[in-house]
Amino acid sequence: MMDVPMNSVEPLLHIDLEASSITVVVACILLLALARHAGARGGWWAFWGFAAAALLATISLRADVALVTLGITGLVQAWFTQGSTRLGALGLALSGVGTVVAGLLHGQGAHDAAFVASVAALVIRVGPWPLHGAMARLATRAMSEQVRQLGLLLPLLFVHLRHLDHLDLAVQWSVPMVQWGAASMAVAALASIGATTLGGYYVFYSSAHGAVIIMACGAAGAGHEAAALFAGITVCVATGGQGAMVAAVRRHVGERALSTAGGLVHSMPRTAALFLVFGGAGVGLPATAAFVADDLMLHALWQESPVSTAAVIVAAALLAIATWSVTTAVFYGPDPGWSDRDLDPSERFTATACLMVMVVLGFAPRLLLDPALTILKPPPSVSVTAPDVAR
Amino acid sequence: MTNVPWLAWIPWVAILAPLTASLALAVVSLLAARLPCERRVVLCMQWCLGVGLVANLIVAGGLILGAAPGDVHFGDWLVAGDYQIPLTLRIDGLGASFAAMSAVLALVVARFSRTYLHREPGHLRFFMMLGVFACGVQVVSFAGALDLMFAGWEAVGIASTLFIGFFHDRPEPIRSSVRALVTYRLCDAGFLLAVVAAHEWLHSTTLASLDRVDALPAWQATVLASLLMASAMGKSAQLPFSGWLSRATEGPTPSSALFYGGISIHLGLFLLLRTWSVIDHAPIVEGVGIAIGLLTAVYAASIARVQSDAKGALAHATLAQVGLIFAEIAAGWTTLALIHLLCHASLRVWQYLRAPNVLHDAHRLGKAVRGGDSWLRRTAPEFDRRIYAHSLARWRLDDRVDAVIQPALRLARLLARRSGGAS
Repeated sequence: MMDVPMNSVEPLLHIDLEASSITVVVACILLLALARHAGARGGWWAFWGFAAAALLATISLRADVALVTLGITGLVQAWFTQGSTRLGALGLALSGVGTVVAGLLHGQGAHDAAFVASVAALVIRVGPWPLHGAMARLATRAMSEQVRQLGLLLPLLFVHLRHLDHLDLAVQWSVPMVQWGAASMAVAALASIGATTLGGYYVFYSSAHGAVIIMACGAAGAGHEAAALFAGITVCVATGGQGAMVAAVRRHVGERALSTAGGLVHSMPRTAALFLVFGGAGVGLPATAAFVADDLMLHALWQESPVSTAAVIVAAALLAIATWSVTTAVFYGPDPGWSDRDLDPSERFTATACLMVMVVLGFAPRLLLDPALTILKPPPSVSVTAPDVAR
Repeated sequence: MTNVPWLAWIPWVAILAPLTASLALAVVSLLAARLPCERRVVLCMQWCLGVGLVANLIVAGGLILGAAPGDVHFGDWLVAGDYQIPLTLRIDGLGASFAAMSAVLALVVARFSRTYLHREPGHLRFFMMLGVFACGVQVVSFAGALDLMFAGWEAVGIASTLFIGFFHDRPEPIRSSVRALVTYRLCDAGFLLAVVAAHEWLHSTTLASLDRVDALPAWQATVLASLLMASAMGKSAQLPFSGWLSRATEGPTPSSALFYGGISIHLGLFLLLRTWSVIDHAPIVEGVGIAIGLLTAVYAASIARVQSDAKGALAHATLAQVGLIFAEIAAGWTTLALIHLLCHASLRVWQYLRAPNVLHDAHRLGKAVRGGDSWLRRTAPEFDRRIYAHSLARWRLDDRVDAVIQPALRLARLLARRSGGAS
């Protein structure tokens, strides 16, 4: 690690990449690649530009630089999205503006205000019920952008946890955020059972997982930063991976109604398998990171609110039921005789790499957790508010 | 097992061997241009199951030859602040006997399926899930902590659901698999809550820490025991969660043998035996367990006697015995229950695997000789007719459960419509 005295000018970059930063960047790049396969606009230039911005934000030691960088990526993505859905683009733009404002406020020393702006930006991005309108539009009209925004959500969450979630305000907001997240997840999970189309199901699936990120941020405020990061990575990769599979289905057969048997497993067996595994990975499938993330989050949530913990457990069960029902409705059934194309080799490789990230983290969670526990401690710049926290 | 250190590592071989086969088959299927051929799939899985069986026999042999049973701690799976998931295995007679029986039955079923599923479209899928199932059962058998046990428990549930929906061209297996998953997941929520509660109340989830349950207030011990029992009831299809079992036989015969005759349906009983120290401190739960077990036995026995298909009759006959074992455990007769469990599981697997031949045998042997009228029919013919009619309708259990679920489904549809998920 580069030895820089902390009482001089604050360094811009953290040269020694910790394992947690590497994991965030790798997961982000894989999701960006999945989005690219799913037809996200902007070509390879956009892919590399977003990846570079994510890398810069993740390794930057300065919260303002990281947040402004990520805010600009949000605005650029909103520009790419406006042709497909205006409401979705508006959501991305608002989130981008919120992130930029959070960065500027942090640079001015207004940490509490920066925290509020960052939380607002995150809430818009993850779309927990009932604020899921913008992200629902992305999921139904521009799935590739939804996958891309999930990729870019990872560095945003990382920066939020690293630089902003240590304040006194974060501690005060902890329980309400956990309770809201749990209620929101329960409603979205229940609604996912009543969805009548594949897109409708995915809207609630991603909204329920957005609620998990809200809960994770709440739990992080109470000192569970590493658990929050672990859960965030799991949620984004699982939801993004499943989004890519939904996009693959739509590319070939359009929107699927869930009232009739689709039978797509005959022509798209790999898509079916990956859809199921990503769906399971979002609800605590053993041997994936999701199982560990569930355990960590439930423990963290119990300390904030045992009732919320029970609600989250039931919601996860409902989400699993919805996922299996949708899998059977879309992929199972007699062969309709369509000649649909399964995933091409590069898509398969990227999706399998995403799964490998989940499996490796599932078997060896300490690869991420141990460095995360170190890196997510309050940086020196936040020590300004230390007396408040102590009080 | 401190007196034979190398033996402590052997259960890992039993756990990881089938999982390795499944992961290898999954990665090859996803990345390769062509799916692996039948012969290679079978060889890969049979070898790995064989290695697992040998590992199990070594552990069982070690215990018989005098190795001390106990918990072996392999460090922590993860540590985050004050939260840990310990990587602890419990090597004792209960776990080793259940694991060895499971390994034998899994290998037998794999060998049977090699012929039975020859050229079946889901051949690869079947063997991959068989590996996941075998790994899950080994994890449950040897786990020394509730977290670890839950991981195996979930793997078994997922494999079971996929096996029920194996013949996915037909609508009935699909519906049955959804019903099984609903039961599994809702009951597993109890297990997961028990894991979190154990961590918060006992400050650890190891099985050893469950022995300290007597230090808890009575209501906490009762809650913990209730959650564990609810989970066991779902997996072992006890009333009121019995409805899925008759539908579960929609899967291929080898999987029915392994799951609903042999291992999966007995896993709930194994959980109760493993966590007996908790159940023992909750007399109310013990009483409820005895009542549920006996009621299930009567319910299943009445249905088994009126079934017209071999697998349906077998499923309910199995359930009747499982209900009895459930009651035995709740009554505290744990050794009797373990012996009953092991013998019953082995017998049922054999019967399920023989089920396809029953018709053939019936034709060969001619009409089965039936006895005269039953005692009930002679003494109370009207009551006998009513029992017969109710049993034929399976006591309308599914309708009653549906009546409970329907309002929630209506609410879900309403929420979806109002929130834009129906578009």
